[in-house]
Order: sequence, then C-alpha cells, then structure tokens
Amino acid sequence: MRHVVEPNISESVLLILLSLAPEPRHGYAILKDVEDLSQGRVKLSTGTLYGALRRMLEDKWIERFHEPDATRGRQAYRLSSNGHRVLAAEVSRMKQLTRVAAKRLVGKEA
Amino acid sequence: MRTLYSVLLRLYPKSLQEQYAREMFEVHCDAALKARSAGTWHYALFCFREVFGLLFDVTKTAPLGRTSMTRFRWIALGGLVGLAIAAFTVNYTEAYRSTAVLRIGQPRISNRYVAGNPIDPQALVRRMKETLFSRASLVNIVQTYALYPREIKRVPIEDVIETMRQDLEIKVAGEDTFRIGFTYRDNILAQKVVRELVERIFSEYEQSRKSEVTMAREFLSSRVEDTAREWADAEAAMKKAQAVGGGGGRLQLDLELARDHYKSASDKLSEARTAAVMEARKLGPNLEMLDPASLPLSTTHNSGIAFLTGIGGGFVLGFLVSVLLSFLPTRTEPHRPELNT
Repeated sequence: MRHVVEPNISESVLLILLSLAPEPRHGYAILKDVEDLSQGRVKLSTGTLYGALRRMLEDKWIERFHEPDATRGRQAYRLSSNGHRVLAAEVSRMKQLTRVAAKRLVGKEA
Repeated sequence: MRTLYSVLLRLYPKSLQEQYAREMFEVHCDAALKARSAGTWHYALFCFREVFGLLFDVTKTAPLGRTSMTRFRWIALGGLVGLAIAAFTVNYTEAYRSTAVLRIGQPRISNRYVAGNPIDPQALVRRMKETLFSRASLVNIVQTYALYPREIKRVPIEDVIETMRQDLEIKVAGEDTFRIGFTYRDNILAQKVVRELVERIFSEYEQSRKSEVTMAREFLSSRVEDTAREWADAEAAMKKAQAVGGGGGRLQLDLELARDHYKSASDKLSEARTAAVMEARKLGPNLEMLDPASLPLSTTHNSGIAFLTGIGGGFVLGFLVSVLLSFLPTRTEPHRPELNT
C-alpha cells in the first residue's frame, strides 16, 4: 500500500521528484533510482511510473526533453522550477513533521 | 512477455500511445532484462507487477478515448462471460463423495467347535454389485431421493442409471473389508444414498445367507434320504445274498460305500443345520459397520481453480476481442470548433 504524505503527493511521486532533483534522468534510470532511494521497498511498474510522470507533466512539476547524447534517442525528464518548489515545500513539511514527532517520542520516553 | 506488454500498450488512447508507448516499451525491456537475471521468482513478480500496473494506469487514463472505452467494454463483457462460465463450471462440476466401510466379521463361535462358513469378499462384492447396481434397484434410489433432476429432464432414464453406476463404487478395501462410495453434487444426498446402500447391503447379505443355509439344508436332507435308501437297498441285497450262502466281495463293498455316503451326507446336514442355527442367532460371519456413511464437506476437486480458470478465460477472451477491434479502422470524430464565451 502506498504511503500518502500529502493529499496530492504519494510516496511514489515524492520519490520520483527526489530522483530528478539532482539531475535529469530517463525512465529506466528513474525506476532504478526510486528502488535505491527506498532501499528496495518501492518497486514501480512501468505503467505506474509513466502514469505519475504524465500527471507531473500536466502539473508542470517536471519537463520532458530529448536526451541529446543518448544512443537510443531517449526522452529524459528534469525537475521544473515549479517541481523544485513543490519538492522543497514537501521536504520542509516532512522535516517539520519529523521534528514534532521526535519531540513527542522523546517526551514519551522521558 | 514483450508481446503481451506491447499488446497491452494498445489499450492507451491513441494520443498517449504515440507519445509514450515506445518509451514505455523500452523501459519495460530494460527492466525485464534486470528482473530475469535476478531469478525466476523475481521475473514472475516483475511480470505480474508490469501487467497489473499498466492495466491500473490505463483505467486511470482520463479522458478515455472512444476506442479505449470500446476495448474496456469488451474486456468487461469478457469478464462477465468468464464469471458466468466460472459459475456454470463450479455448479456443474462440484461433487461430493460419501463413503462407508463394512467388514465381514469373524463367526462368534470358533471354527474349532463348529465348522465355519467362510465368505470371500470378492465374491460378496460381485454379488452385491449385481443386486444393487441392477436397473430396478437404481431407479428406485433415483426416485426415492429425487437424484439427477437436470439429467432426467434431458436424457433417458437408462443414461441416468448409467451415470449413477459410474458415480457408485463398491470395492474390496482390505482383507475382510469393502468400501461403498457415491459421488454427487449434493453432499447430504450423497450421504443418504450411501446409508441407503449400506442398509440394502445388510438386508441383502442377511437374506442371501439365510437362503444359502436353507437351500443347503434342504439339499443335504434330500441327499441324506437318498443315501439312506441306497444303504438300505445295499443291506437288503446283502441279506438276500447271505440267505443263499453268498454275500461277499462286491456286495460288501457296495454296502460299505453306501454307508460312507450316508455318513458323509449326514455330517454335512448336521453342519448345515448348525450353520442355520448360527445364522438364526446371528452368530455367523455377520457384516459389521466399520465406518458409517460420511458427510463430505469438501468437494472432490478444487472448485476454486475451476472458478478462476473460468474468469481468467473470460477476461482473456474479452481482451483478445478488444485487441482485434483495435486493428479495425476507427471512425474519426468531426472537429468541433471551440465556442468563445
């Protein structure tokens, strides 16, 4: 079951955004990176990945472009400025949540 | 898997196919290569994930094009057909088997005191089959328990009886045991029929044993009478010969032979009388119920597999029709100019 971290951002979407944050990637590279990022917990199917990519393209969180130096002429994806903003906001929200959760847990242990 | 995946990609609306299908297929092939190298189990999981992930994504594709909707309708229709086939298959192939085990008990009085009347289980089973599997007996059971109502409407009673013969079983299960079984789609009726058969076997066995000893006694009585007559005749012939000074040799031999025959017949008659008394007092090798008719709770085969096969077959059928339809030229919608508001 997918863990929803915000009404509109599922864990898969967050992981894809995180995967694209450092550099643009093509489809298969995103699949592998998401698996690595989640330590093998999240394994996206091609259908799920492209469904998420399509929605992110519609929301203009990512951009699709033709990879210039690829041998197969593949399409690649990169984070848009809008996507950066969404990711930063999400990460900040999670940090805040983590801080609160940590405090609560420490308080309970004490 | 590649072929299946490329076919499944055709479920997307045309515009999405043009944009993403090739790319998705390439990514799928790369991922498949990696999954295959990880082992069979990983690859099987990967295939499952890929197929269902894609189908799930297709259902979320909005707005669905006319072609996609048509395909979905066919798949849904195929699913419904599959469901119907599955329900039909389960309903018509579901069967329960009730069994009972009987034993031929040892006589209550040891063979040391009374000569026994041993029973051969094979012969007994053969005899029971002849009696119980007869047309009259089976018609009676079918009518008593209202068995095979669907078959009776469709086929002649002879065929129904033949079906019942195939569903029935009486066979030797051990040295002195034999099993009675009946397979039917209703477990309670299956049990009732086996109970009925067991009762009939008991009654038939008792009757046949009684008639056997009675016939043996009657035959041996007449045999004793005959041998007694022969002995008397031999004695009379001997006396007659002795009166004229003869009586040796051949006549003496005939007399001894007639006496031996009489003695032997008398001994056998005595044994038959004892056996008759034993049968009357139920001291002989009676039938005993080892396991009464069981009430089967699970079917003789896995109806779940039949059900899933039916549904799966239906979906595959619907899917194939949808794929075939996708090769047909589609009617293009006329362009609708946007209204300026």
